[in-house]
Amino acid sequence: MNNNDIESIITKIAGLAHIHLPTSNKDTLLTNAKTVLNYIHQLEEVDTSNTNITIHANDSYTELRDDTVMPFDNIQGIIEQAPQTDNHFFQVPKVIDND
Amino acid sequence: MTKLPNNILSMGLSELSQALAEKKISAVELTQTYLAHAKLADTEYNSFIHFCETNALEHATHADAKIADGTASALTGIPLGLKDIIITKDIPTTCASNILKNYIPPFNATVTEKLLNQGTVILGKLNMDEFAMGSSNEHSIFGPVKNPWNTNHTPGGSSGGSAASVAAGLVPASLGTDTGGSIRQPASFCGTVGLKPTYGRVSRYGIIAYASSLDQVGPIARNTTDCAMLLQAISGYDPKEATSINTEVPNYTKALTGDIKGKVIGIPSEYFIKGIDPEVESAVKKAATELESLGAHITEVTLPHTKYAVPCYYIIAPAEASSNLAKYDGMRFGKRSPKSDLFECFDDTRTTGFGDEVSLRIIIGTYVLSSGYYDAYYTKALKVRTLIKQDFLNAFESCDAILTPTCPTPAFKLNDRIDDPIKMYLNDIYTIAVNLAGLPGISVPCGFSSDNLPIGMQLIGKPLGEAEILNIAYTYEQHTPWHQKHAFNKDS
Repeated sequence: MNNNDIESIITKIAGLAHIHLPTSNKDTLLTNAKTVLNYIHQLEEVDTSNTNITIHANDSYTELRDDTVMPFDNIQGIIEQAPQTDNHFFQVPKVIDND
Repeated sequence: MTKLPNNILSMGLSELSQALAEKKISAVELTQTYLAHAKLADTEYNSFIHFCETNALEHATHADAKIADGTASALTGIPLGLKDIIITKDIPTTCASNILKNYIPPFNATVTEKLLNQGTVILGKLNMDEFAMGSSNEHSIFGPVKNPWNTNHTPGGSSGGSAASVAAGLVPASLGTDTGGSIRQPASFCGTVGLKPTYGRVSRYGIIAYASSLDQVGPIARNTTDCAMLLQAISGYDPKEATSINTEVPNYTKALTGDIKGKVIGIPSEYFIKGIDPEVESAVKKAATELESLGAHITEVTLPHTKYAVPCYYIIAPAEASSNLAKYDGMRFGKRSPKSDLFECFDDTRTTGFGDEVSLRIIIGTYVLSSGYYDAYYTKALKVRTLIKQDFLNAFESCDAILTPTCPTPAFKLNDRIDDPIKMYLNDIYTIAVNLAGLPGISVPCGFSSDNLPIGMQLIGKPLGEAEILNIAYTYEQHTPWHQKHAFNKDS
């Protein structure tokens, strides 16, 4: 894969993560991303053909909680942290386009 | 005000606890003394993001009442600092990020709640690399922290403020978090003791997530005993945390017997290779000789996949980070861009809200999780993680603990590695594998460089083997002078 291809993939991936590569330091970010991607590529040399994956460090399983409503005594504290609210609702930019 | 003991700022947790119990000082006086000192002295180090003066004095008043009515614990009235990734109700928690700059949490983390229930006093929130992504504390919107041993050098990261504040005598002890070495590396750079517990030993409920399969909370203190006391206070099962381990917590301070006769300590040859500073190598090898003279047996062990730990980590951690940080969209909390279009609002909020290193890791994480690259990178890394974990399990068949350097070098200079991500990442080469395997690790001072910068050694334990490594560290401390040297009295 040539440099232009990698740059266009990284730019596209950044867009998927809702991050614009800033014009001020776009080159540095691209260079660093390419450096890191090249570096992590070395795992290819490890033989893992008979190896299972490890998702969590310990052998415990993720404990599921009962699906019950738990009281929380500071709802107002949550609402106060929202950038925009309408009573107990979060106000967000228009999601559905009328056009 | 009563006459305060002269050496109040150099007392460890046990001594402070005794002074409080004997009414030589009140919790309010102790809090006021520390606040006044830290506010003045921290202008040189930048280790605090926020002082919690009002809350701290309230907590201290409450602590004095507990001491008076006989309901105090060993930590009641003790002032502490918390890394600013730990959620504190009604106290700003920023994660050193622009996106959370004005965030005031509506709840407490479990560790915060546990400390407050024991009557500790939270003096303030400590500086860090943004979202715990960094090894030098240079990725903070509040500016870098400076190493109290030499302010031209980094204190390490990401818990740089937690280690520097302890080293500088601004707090007696603190909490940090450790995803790839973020407690142990700064503890080593600042000449303090830092412990990363076993994955699941301490609840992460209310810890702002970076990489969920790796993150752990742990103490940084001036000595092993203080570290054990603080670990005791925060450990234990938490039903609010899905990965919390439901087993009994041992008495960590009682485990400090000072007897390590017959203990087998493994030394991995893969950790003493090209790139290690000769002074670090020499200090750790001398520590091994000291441990042997105290009755331990030293044996060579092998951890053959060590060289793959850093690239493995820089796939898994960014992958998890890209998912964890997707929640910062400006809708329910944190910074929101004024743009009226929904997607422009998302993009602008995140682009202006995250710093460069966080953006880089989100991009890397999104890349390795994307269709077409998932198996080649992410699945591959999860398999290599199995091999790294298996290396440790094999090694522990022939030893009780593993001794390594904490870092390849003493603290490096500020701005020295900021432009080279791989050089920066390789600084964590000795600590990262411990997170991938979910093991406990402690960094303990074991010497000084010719530039008078601290050197740390790392003891790695078996799963839930915190008591074992604490006792080995404690025993070493009893026979060596390093933990008694503090940056706050380095010139005396």
